Amino acid sequence: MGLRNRVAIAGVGQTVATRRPGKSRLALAAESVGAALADAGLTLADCDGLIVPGGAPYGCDYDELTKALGITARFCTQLWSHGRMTVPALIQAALVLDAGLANVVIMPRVCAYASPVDASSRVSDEFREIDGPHGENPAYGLRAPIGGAGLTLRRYLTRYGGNARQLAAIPVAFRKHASLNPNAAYRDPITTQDYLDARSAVEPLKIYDCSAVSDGAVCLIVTTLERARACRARPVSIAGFQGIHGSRDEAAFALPGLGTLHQDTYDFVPDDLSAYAMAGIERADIDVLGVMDSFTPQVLSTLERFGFSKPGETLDWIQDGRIELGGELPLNTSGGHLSEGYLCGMGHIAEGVRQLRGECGARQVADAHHFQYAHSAGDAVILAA
Amino acid sequence: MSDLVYQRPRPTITEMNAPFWAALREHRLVLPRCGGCGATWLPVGPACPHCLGRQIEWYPARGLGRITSWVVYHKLYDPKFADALPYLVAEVELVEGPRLTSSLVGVAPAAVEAGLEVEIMFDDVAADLTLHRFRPRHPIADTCTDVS
Repeated sequence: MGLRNRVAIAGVGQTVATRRPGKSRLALAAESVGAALADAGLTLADCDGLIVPGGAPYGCDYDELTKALGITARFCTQLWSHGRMTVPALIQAALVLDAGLANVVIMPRVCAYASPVDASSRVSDEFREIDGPHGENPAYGLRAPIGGAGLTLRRYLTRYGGNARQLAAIPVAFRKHASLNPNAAYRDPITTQDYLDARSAVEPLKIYDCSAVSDGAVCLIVTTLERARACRARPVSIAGFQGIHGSRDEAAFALPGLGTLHQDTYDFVPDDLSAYAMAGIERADIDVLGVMDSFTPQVLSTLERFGFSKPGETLDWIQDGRIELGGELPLNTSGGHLSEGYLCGMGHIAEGVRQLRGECGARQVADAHHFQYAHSAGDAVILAA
Repeated sequence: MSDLVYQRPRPTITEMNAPFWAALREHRLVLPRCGGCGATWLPVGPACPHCLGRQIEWYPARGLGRITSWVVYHKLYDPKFADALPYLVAEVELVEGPRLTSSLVGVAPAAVEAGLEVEIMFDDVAADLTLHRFRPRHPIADTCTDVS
């Protein structure tokens, strides 16, 4: 069982996700850190670890956070500036706490994607030697993560069949959930017809298939379960986790074996469900699920990766309210990236904590004991009430 | 579309993939093959991704393949492509096996289907740069076509 329930999330701070650009990144950080500390009933003096899941150019780096906010820590680190680093950051926090390298870890993530970034201020990783992190190929106009997401969806639809009307179930459900979330960037419900009538961004993706670009920040405070029990808020323990999988068969957004970019083509069978074993539960014990939804095809891939549905059958599986509040598997109850705002998965984790504490009001899932956050690269965290 | 000064992003060319781009300038498509295990792959890298072998041989590819996925950019993510909207980017599964990300030309976006057979064409976009692009394969075409 390893680190099962040895560490816990003791505090959560989250700003509103706003579609209006121009927010100071450090101001967002300060707001989320202050809210997380107040939630936990701690002060910065209690924190001696700083793990930043991702920084500049859309967020804040660890060193500017220490200087600007007066954080003093004996263990600082920062991961890749992409949304996929949320689970690795949480796993690192658990390991650091277990090793005694820190007693209380503060984990702020600023996600200022609505504010423009001066292109000259950075070298885009889309221009790496092989290709970008989502298959980008600038010489051919395959720019931005959306290109890789579009290739994934097209490959999925041509391999398995399915149509836009079926896919609409995802953005319609998440928007319905966001309508119950005062913090969400987009709260007006949409219908299947709204989705079908929407314009294409990068075909086959419509605008509602894409993240709600926003400015916001989330901060988590992670400590030992013992320490968390002495904090103000009810602790939510980290019951299980598993890391990002890497290989040539991994492509951002796509299930291994789908056959996009450099992937081979084969029938995927879930090969790592160790987070459930670590947590001592079955997949069916998950009461609320959070899935990284930068684009809708990523939701299909992730449900299949963890065996909630079979490869190629997910467009059928998600119909008839199954993933909506009140359904069999409430998914992204905050609205997720599609509607709450692009918070790099940290918003999903914060929502999991709130669900397990019973703080979600109109969107509360009854008797929520286990929350899973899952990502298409095979990484996951399971939280327990 | 030759320009005096090519404005769009250029591929990242290094010693690792220079033979690939140099061959394109001669209107040839070449692929890497591992001198150790015989594997062939894309995208071009510094070593064989199957055995880490670094004896790479370059062999001529036929320039034929089929479309396995494609997207149509309606929204602009790179101002240098403003004059191209809407434009197609496709994955071409070459008859040799590996997939190449490329442009798909000579076909309306709505007419593209998975499995569409395509052939390479060479686009001399600048004096020192030739890009590969693909177009629907002529029924009787059997070799690479030079359209320059």
